[in-house]
Amino acid sequence: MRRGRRGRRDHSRQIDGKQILKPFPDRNPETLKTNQQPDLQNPSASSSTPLNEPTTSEPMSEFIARTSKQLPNRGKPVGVSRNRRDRAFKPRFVDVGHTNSSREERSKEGEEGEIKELGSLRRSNKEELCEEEEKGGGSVSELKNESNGERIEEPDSVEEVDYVGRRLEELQLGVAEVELSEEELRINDQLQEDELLAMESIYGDNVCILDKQRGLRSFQIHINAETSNELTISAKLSSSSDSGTKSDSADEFSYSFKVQYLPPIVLSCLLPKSYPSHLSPYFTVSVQWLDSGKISNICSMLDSLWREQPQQEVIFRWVAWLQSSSLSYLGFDEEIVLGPYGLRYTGDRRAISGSISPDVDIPSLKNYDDQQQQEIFCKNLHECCICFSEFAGSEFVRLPCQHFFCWKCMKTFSDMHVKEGTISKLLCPNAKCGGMVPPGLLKRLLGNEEFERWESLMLQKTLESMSDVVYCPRCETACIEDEDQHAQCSKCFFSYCSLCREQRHVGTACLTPELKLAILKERQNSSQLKHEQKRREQEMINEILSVREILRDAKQCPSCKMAISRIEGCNKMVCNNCGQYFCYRCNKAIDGYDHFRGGDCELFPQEAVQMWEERMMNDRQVVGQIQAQLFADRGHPCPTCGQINVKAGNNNHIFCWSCQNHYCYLCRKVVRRSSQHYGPRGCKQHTVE
Amino acid sequence: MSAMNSGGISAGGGGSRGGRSWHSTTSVSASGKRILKEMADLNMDPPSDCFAGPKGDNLYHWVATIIGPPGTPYQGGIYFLDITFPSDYPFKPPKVVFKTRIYHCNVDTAGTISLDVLKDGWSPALTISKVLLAIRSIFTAPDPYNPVVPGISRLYLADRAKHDELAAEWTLRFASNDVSIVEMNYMLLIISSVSSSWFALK
Repeated sequence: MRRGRRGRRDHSRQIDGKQILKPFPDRNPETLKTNQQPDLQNPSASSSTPLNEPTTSEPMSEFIARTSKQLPNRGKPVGVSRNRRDRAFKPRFVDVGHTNSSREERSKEGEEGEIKELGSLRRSNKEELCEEEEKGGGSVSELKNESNGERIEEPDSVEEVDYVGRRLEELQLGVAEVELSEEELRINDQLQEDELLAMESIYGDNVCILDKQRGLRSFQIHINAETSNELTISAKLSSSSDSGTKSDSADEFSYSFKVQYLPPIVLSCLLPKSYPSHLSPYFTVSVQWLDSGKISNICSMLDSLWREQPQQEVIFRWVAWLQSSSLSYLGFDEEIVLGPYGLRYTGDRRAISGSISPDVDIPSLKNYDDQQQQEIFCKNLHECCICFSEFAGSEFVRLPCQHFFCWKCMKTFSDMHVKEGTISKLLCPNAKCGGMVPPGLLKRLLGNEEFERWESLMLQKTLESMSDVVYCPRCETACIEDEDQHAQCSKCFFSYCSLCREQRHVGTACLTPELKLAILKERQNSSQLKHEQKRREQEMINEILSVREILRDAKQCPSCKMAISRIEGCNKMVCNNCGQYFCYRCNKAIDGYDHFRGGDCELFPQEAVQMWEERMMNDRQVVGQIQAQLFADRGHPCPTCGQINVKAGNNNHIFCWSCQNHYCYLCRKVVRRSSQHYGPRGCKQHTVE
Repeated sequence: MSAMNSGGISAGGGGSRGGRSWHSTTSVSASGKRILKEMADLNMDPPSDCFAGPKGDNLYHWVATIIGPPGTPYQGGIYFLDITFPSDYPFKPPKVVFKTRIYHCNVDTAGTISLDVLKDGWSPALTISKVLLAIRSIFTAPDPYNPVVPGISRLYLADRAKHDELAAEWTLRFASNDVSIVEMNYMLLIISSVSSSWFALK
C-alpha cells in the first residue's frame, strides 16, 4: 500500500468522462515556506493558468491524439505535463490517520473510477498497471482529495495520481528481488535509514520522505540545478502544426527569453531491500521542461554513477551530480534549448517528461520564474525609496512600471493628491517615471469615498480637455457641440446655441448683449409678467450690465477668456487662470518679449512712460533729455547708463541727466574726484569743440 | 567637510555640525523620520562639494553650501543655501533659496531658484542630495530659455565671454571665502591711502 503521499489531492478519476491526465507528480518541498500556501488551499486560484489540463474530453483527446501517436503502449500520457507546474506546493505533512480514513472512504470510488478509465484506449497501459497493482494486493492508493466534494467541481485543482509511484512499482516489479539473509537485510535497512536521514538533514525541505510501501522506503527530492543568475531559454517554433514531420529550417524561428529560476528536477526513488548491497534504487526522473530523450540520458548517467561504485550508497552522489552537472552534461551551460518536440520516444521508462509543446512550456516556465521571483521578493527585506524604512516584501505594492513602494507611502501619496485635486500628478512617484497607477490599485489605496472623488475629478478633467464640450444652461450636464455652435442636452433635451446659451436660433445671429438688454428692460415694464419671472429677468439684466462693465475696462485672455484688467505695469500680461502670456494692447497670445520688439505694440504704453517721467524727472532732467534729443549727433552716451548727454558750453565735466553720475566728456570715464581727474596731468576741463 | 570647516563657514553653529548626533525629540512623524534618515545618509556618504545640515535645533530648517564647480565662472565660490522642509515632506518639495548673491540667469536677486525639480518635477523619491546635485548642474549648464533674470540670459546668449566675466566678478565679490575678501579690502584700503597721500604730496 502506498501511503503517505502527503497532501496529494487527486482528481484524475473524473467519472463523468472528463479525463484529466495528471500523472505529472507535483513537487512537495519548498511549499511550506511560501505564502502561496493559502493560494493553494484555494483551488480556484490554481485554475488561473491556461496550462492546466483541459477539462473537457475533446481537447484532451486532441491533445493525446496530437502528442501520443507514438505511445500506444506507454502509460505516459503526454498530456501529463500540465498540472501544477507552477503550483507545486502542497501541504506536505498530511495527517496520515486522516488520510487513511478518507482513503478507505474513497477507495471504492477510486476503484470504480479506475475501472471506468480502463475503457479508454489511451489508458491501455494504465490498465496493465492497475491490474498489476491490484494483483499486488490492494487498491491503488490514490489519495483522494481531502476537500471532499471538490473533485468534480475543480478538475484542475491541485494534485494528481501517483503516477510516479506506479511507475516505480512497475520498475520494481520488473526486477527480481534478490534473496538476502537476515543479517544483510538488517544491514541494508540500517544503511538506508542513515542515508535518508542524512539526505533530510542536508536538503531539508526539498526532500519528501514517503511512507513505506510494502515495506520499502521511498522518497522524492526536488533538485534545483545550479545555474548562473540569469538563464536564456530558447525554443524553436515551427510553423508546421504537424508534429510528426520534421519541418524545414525555413519555417522555423527561435524564440528566446530569460529567467532566473527553473522548475526543479524531481528524483523519486524506491529503495529495494537489497540496496545498497546488490541493487540500485528504482528511480524516476521527472523534469517539466526537458524532453524524454534528454531525461533518459540523465537516467543512464545515474546508472553509470551507480556502476562506478556499486554497493555504496549512491543517492547523495546522484543528487549532487544532478544539482551541479546535469545541465552542463546536456550541453546547457549557457543557453537552454527546449525541444525537440513531437519525436517518438522509445527510451527509458524512468524518464518522465513534462514537455509538451512550446506554446505550453514557455508560458509555464515564465510563470514559474515569475512566481519564484515574487516569493523571493516577498521574503526579503526591501527599502522603500520614499520613507527609507525597511519592510518585508509583502508590505510593498508594485506598479506596472515595476517600481515598488511601501503601502503606507503610496497611500499617503494618493490621498494627498486626491485631496488637493491634483490628480494629474497621481502617477508613479519615482522621479522621471510617470507610469500610470491602475485604477483597481487606486481603489484599494484610497477607499471607496476617496476613489469616487478621484473618479469625478478625472471625469471633469477629461471633459475640460475636450474642446467641444459645453454645459447645458438649464441642467449643467456636459454636452457635445457640433460645428455650427449647436448643442443638445441629453438629459433635458434642451437644444441651444453654445455661443449665447439661449435657445437655438437657426439663421439669425446671437442676440447682442445690448439688444438683449433693451428687450429685457422693455419686458420689465410690462404688466403681464408674473412676479417670479420678473425677478429672474431683472437678475439677467443685472448680469448683462455687470459683464458689460467688466468688459469695458478689461481684456479677455486669448485662451481661457477670463476678463483681466490692468492696473499698472507693462503690456506683457500673464493670465492667472491658465498661465497664458498675452499682450494687453492687441490681445494676442505671446511668448517672451519678442512681440514688443518689432511691430506696433510697445512694451510700455505711452501714458505710462509719461507718468513715470513726470514722477521721476525734474526740470533739469527734462531739459537734458530734450537737448539730447535735439542734438543727438553732438552728444554721446554716458558710460554708466548709456543715455545721450550734450556738452554744455566748454565744460568737459558732464553730470548725466539720467543716472546722475559725473563723467568726463573727453575720456568718457566716470569721475569721482574732479580735482584729481582734471588738472595739468589729466584731462582739460574746458576745451572748445 | 573638514576642509570646509577650517575655511570658516559663517553659518550658525557651523563648526560642530559634523560630530553632533541627533536626538529625535522632534518628530516621530513620517517627514521627521525621513529627514533624519537623509541626514544620516549625508553624514555617511557626503557628495563632493556639497554640505547640508540642520541650522540649529529645528530639523526642518537646513543650511547647505555648494562650492562653485571648476570649469565654470563660479569656481572657487562658496554659495550658501537655505532649505526649508514642509511638514508633508517628502510629498511636497523643499524650499531652497540662495543666500549668497550669484550672477545666474535662473536665480533672481532674492535668491529664489527656478528649477523644475523644486516645483512641478518634484517626486517623493528625490532626496536633498539629489536636489543639491541638480542645483550644481545648473551652475555648469544654465538654462537661458527659462530665465528668471532676462537680462542675464540675454547676455549669456549674446556675449558669453562677458557673461562669464561678470559671473566671475560676482563670485569674487560675494561668494568668495571671507578671509580673502577681508584681505583684499584691506589691501585696497592701503593702496588707496598710500596713493592718495602720494598725490597729496604732489
